[in-house]
Amino acid sequence: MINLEVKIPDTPGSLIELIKPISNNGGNVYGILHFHDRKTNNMIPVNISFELSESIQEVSLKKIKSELKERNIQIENIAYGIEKKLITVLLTGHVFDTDVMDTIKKLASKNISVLELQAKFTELEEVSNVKLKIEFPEEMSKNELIATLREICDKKNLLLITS
Amino acid sequence: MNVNICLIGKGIVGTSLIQILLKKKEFFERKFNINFVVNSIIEIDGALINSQGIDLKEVIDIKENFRRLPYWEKDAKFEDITSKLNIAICIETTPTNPKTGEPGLSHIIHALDNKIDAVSSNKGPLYLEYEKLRNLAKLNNCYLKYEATVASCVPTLGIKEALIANEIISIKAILNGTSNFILSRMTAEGINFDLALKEAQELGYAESDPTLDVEGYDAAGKLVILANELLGWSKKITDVQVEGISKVSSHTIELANSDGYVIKHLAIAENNKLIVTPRLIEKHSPLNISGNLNAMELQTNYAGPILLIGRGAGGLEAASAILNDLIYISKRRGYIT
Repeated sequence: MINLEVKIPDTPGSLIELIKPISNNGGNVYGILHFHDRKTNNMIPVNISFELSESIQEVSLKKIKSELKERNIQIENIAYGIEKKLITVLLTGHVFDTDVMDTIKKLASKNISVLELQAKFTELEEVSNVKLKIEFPEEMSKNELIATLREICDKKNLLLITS
Repeated sequence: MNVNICLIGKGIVGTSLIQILLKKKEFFERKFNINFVVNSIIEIDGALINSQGIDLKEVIDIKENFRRLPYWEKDAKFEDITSKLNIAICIETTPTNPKTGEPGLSHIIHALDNKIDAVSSNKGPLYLEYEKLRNLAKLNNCYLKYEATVASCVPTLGIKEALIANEIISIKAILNGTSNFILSRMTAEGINFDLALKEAQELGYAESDPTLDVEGYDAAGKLVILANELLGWSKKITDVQVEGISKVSSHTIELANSDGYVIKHLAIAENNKLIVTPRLIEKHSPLNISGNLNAMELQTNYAGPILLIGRGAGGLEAASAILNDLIYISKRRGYIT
């Protein structure tokens, strides 16, 4: 999560001028705080939080800063928040026949939480496709998480697809 | 200057190379003052041999009846020919045998043992015996070039020289056009794997037995070559963790899509590990290429990410990569001044 502290003029359309460079460069805006009570010289402090994908973060952030500068938006501060470690994975195979609750419990035993499960299958006997949104501990690396998932999937003959 | 070439294999790639050599003959003479003289073309059951140079137009015109030409010698083998003819560079284009690398492996070894520079579009020998061949080339003071073995005409190996001041840290690539075509069609049309495979076969993008492609073994071989060449590793095909795409269904793709992902069959070299597997990538990722294209993303220490995209297969495409290798060798040997 990236948090920008900026100052924008208290005029119609200023907020759009702030949001455009962020969304045009792949930013997913999570929240905006306006501090009208701290207005000085017609400039209002604003905090905007957004997410950028890791693969494009460096390049996109550069572009965002440059485009904000072109729009005369002054950046006061940039902060990088501690993100919850989340990952989306897909499992394909006989996910339910191989006891999906057991899969979830095995993950839970290692402090890995399944936040969301979405499944698609046509017939009960056919293979199922399951999407899991997983939260995993700060101290666990992504590689460790994937190794844990892979161990479970290999035993159950499930195809694991990660990002 | 005349440079004598032995061509091993007159399949799609070999024939395409002959076509380009014919077409570019005047260009090479004008620009480089070089004339590539093909004095032998070797097939499984014999060879066309002419020490003064084979009439390539005649070979093209006669098509599959080339065995009727007067200079066809039945049962002639490469090993016999090298003692009879003066050959500067041999070009190995026979089909890949994924288990043994033969007969291509023996051809390359024989060439190098006889101090003949070698160019290969056959990847089997390179991913099965990379170190052995590289060491043999060095021992005999020979050039061994194989740009066409990975992503055909896309300079996935040649880029190493262009990035000489950088360290290449990792590789993420789409190296098999068949599996990429199948996944692209499944994504675009919502069709299942079997239907997409059938479509690929009808269009000539997949073999009748697509196992090597869809189960990731073809990409695994290419990944070994890339990792050894670009990252300086010493890996073999058995070091690659391989997972195919045949279990990916239209439902899998739908689930991926609902979160803004697509599924691609990626070949990855990072942290001293090699893996070929279906992966989720974001829709806006530059690796989200469609059809039967190949792509390679390198992470470097100074230049950051670098992406190459292009056609990963095709006769003319592979032949153009072979020609690049011929020019490379010719420049360094002083055939081109």
